[in-house]
Formats: sequence, structure tokens, C-alpha cells
Amino acid sequence: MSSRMNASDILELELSSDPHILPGVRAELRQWALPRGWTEDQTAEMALAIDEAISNVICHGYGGEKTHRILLSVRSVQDPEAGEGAEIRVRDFGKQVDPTRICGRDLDNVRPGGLGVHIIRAMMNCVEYSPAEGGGMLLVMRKYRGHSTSGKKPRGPTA
Amino acid sequence: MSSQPDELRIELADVNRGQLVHVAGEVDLHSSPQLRTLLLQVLEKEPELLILDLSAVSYMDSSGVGTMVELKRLAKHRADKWCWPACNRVCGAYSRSPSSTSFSPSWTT
Repeated sequence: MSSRMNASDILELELSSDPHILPGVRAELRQWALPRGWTEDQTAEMALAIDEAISNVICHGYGGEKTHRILLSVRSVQDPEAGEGAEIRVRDFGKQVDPTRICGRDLDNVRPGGLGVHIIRAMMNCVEYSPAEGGGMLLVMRKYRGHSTSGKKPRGPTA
Repeated sequence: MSSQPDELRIELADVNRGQLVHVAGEVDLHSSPQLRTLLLQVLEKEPELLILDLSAVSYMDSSGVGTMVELKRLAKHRADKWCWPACNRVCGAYSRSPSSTSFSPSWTT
């Protein structure tokens, strides 16, 4: 896993499609989010959404093969209505699928698998899949400061 | 969730009529296959009682939830009853004997 924090404070990670990278990705997200005033709960929610997104790429986009490339970026954004937030992009170079078919399974059908998309949508405010130029898929997710599944109020940024 | 990865740790202990499985650390797509394999091995032995202690699990994604769902399904085929005792942290247990499906409050965290 290679990572860099550029001048505009964007966290960029170039990852292999190997599940062993997941703990490190969660740790990197934590190091990016907490100093920017995201709460522990919100940070955990973003980390879970990223974890599920990358897991889906590994399992479905790359069929479990561990040597492919995944690009992750996280940056602060400002929306005129929703306010300050974080935008997370997950780019893969695997199979392209119709975004309308990425909906997760019926939750009344209790069986292993198929929960990732539901979890991502629950953790984030906006979730949008699209076919990426040149192949693969691009997932853009946004979470705003006022959003937390725990209902706890976020604190302000720390120095 | 901590800055340092909290690696999966699994300990087995014999209890009165079966097995107690303590799980600690992070359960994700990387670690859940290890947990799944071990739990299936435990189930293969058909213990009369299986108690799964997840109170020290610091993180679990959908692959871990999927493992729990699969375990529950397999256990239901073999057991008389499956319980998710109400507690702050998730614990699961199954019993093959209807008389042994009650859980003492001391079990909850």
C-alpha cells in the first residue's frame, strides 16, 4: 500500500486487491479524519463504508484475485446545502457493471453476503456508482458533518 | 477502532457440555475466513453446547456478519435452539439440548 497526503490534504492510497490491506486502510482513514474534527463514531462509519467498498471490489470486481489495483482518495468538501463533509472515491479497474444493479440483496432474505451495499448506504449520505473511463468502476461517497448513525453531535476541528 | 490493527485472536475452551469460543480483535474480509474455518471445525465436532463470545471483537464488517449468519444456519440444522443473548456486545450460542438454552446474566457484558 502506498499513501500520500498532498498539499491540499487529500489522502490518496494506491492499494492491491488483497484483503490484508484493509486494517491499514482503516488506520489511514482514522489518521486523516480525527484531526479534522470527525467524531470517533463518524470516523468508524466512514472506515466501515470504505472497508465494504474495497471488499466488494476485491470479491466482485476482481473475483478474489489479489494482484489488481484499487485507488482510494479522501478529501474535504463543502456543499452549499449540506455543509462541510468528506468525499471518498474508490476506483477499480475490474469488471464494469450497470450501476442500477448494485443494490444489495433483499434484507428479509437472511443469508451470508450481499450486505455491503446496504451498510455503505447506511454509513454515508450520498453513494454513487458509475462506470469509470478506461474500464472498471468509480464509487463516490459523501458524508457530511451532521450525519452520524449514532446520533452523537460532531465536535469541531482540532489544531 | 484503533490506529494499530487489532489482529484477530481466537481461543477455545471446554465448558461443561461443549465449547466456548472467545473471539477478539478485528473481523474483516482478511480475517473472517480464519474465523469461519475454525467455527466450522468446532461445529463438525457437534458439541452439545457452543457459546460464541464476541465481547472482545473491536470491529466487524459484513464478511464477519456473513460468517455469523452462516454459522447460525448450520447450527440450526443441528441444534434445538439458537440464541442471541441480549447484551451490549454480540454473543451467540446454540444448544442441542432444550434444557440447556438458558443463559445466566453473568454471561452478558
